[in-house]
Amino acid sequence: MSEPVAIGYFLLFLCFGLVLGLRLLGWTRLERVFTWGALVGNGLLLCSIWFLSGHVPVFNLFESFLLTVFILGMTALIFTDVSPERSCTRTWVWAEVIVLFGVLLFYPKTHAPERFYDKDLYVVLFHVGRAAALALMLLASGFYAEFLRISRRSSSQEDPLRMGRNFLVLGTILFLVSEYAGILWCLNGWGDFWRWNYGFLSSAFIMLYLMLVFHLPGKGSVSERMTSITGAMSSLVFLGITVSRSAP
Amino acid sequence: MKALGEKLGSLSLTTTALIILLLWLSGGILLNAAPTFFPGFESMNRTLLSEWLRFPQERFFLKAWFIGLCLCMALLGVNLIFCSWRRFFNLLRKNFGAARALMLLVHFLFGFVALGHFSGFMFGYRYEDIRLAQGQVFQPAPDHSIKVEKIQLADASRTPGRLGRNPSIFDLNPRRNFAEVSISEEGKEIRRQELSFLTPLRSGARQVTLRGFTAGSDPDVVLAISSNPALQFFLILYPLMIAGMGLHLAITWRKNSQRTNSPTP
Repeated sequence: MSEPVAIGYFLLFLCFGLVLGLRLLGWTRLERVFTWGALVGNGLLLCSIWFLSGHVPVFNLFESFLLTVFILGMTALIFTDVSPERSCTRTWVWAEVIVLFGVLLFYPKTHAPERFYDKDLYVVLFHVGRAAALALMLLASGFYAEFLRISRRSSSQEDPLRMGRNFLVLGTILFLVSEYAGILWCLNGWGDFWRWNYGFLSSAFIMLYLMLVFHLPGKGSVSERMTSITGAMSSLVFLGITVSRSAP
Repeated sequence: MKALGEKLGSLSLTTTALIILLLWLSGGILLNAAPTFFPGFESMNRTLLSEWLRFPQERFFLKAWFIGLCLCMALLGVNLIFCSWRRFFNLLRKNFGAARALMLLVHFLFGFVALGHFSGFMFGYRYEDIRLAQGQVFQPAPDHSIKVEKIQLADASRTPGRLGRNPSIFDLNPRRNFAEVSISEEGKEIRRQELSFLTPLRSGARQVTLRGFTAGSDPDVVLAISSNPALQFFLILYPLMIAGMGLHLAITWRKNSQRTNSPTP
């Protein structure tokens, strides 16, 4: 464990925990201050890992989740409103950040070792694309969860549903870009773009699951709720598979 | 007949086919983790599946799983054809919009990408773990041959934790550990290049990839030699499909969800 990096991680965990707490208390001004503080700290930690390791910080779960949290936090700041209500899209997003930091408790808080291939464009694009896709899918899940909460009270609220769909499609596009980079990487390194192993089969599983979310039939409130539930679960599917691919 | 066409092109069938595919793939993931079937998957990686299916020693259960996977994909393909056919004529008759036309195009592209992927399993050739010493020749097809002209393995003894074993390609500096390889067609050299990890030699649909080295006083290179006639087609259509999805998202970003949830035009 690299001590300064680990201390940075625990401080960020505390900061994001405070952000979620302040959101639940409805103290929006303090929440904003801590959010910016946590995101600046997150950015600095990523930069320091990049500086220390000499590679883009995406090569182990610790690095890639830090990048995911940074992208998720920034997109949440830009695309979600500060609601006076305790439960809103941002509440879900900060809860998701806490889950990501919680998962990292079980992983070494250090940067990945240097490898000769870690500056290859396709390798970097594959890992960055995955981290960004996960961040956008988590944001989409926040919107879907919010839609499910408010749709019980009113049937006319469809903005979170639309935003959920938009960010899920954007996350899917980034996922496909990362898969394409992975195809080129595999082609250059192994002579083929497909291998019959867990990594490739689980990627195909994620893609088919996303296709399922976009192809659910029907219209009306029941269909919207089904889309929201399966859409919100897509980030969990992606997260679960990502974690299962990275043994601590 | 029309009712059957409606059913074959319905979103309900799409959902059903996708759920079956997800379950089938989950089964594959479990089989891949089982020690009994893992060597079978490794064998699938080493050769073209059109040849692998003819290997008598491979397990019937794994072959049945693969054929089942292909059948599920075929069902999705039939659904795609019927759905696109109906929507295509609807599009020409009424409701012609950029978003709908673009989504139809993305579906067509997906179909061709899937076909390109499947062709990669079936056509061309594939040889993995071909071990050649300096000066040795391998002939993957009657009219052409691959010769290892030179091997430079500078870092083998410095690979940490692998004393007495073959060095891992991931730990070797590609600038100092490489092989020079040439491809000849009907006895005439058509291409010569230094190969290192992540820098393969390509000539048309043929590819020679450096997979590793075997240590010793006279080191060998481990090569993957493959030819995939559908590869260029696949590599061009895949990013076009992504671009189509991106454009569709940009067009529909502000539209309400009732209209944009459906992926089909």
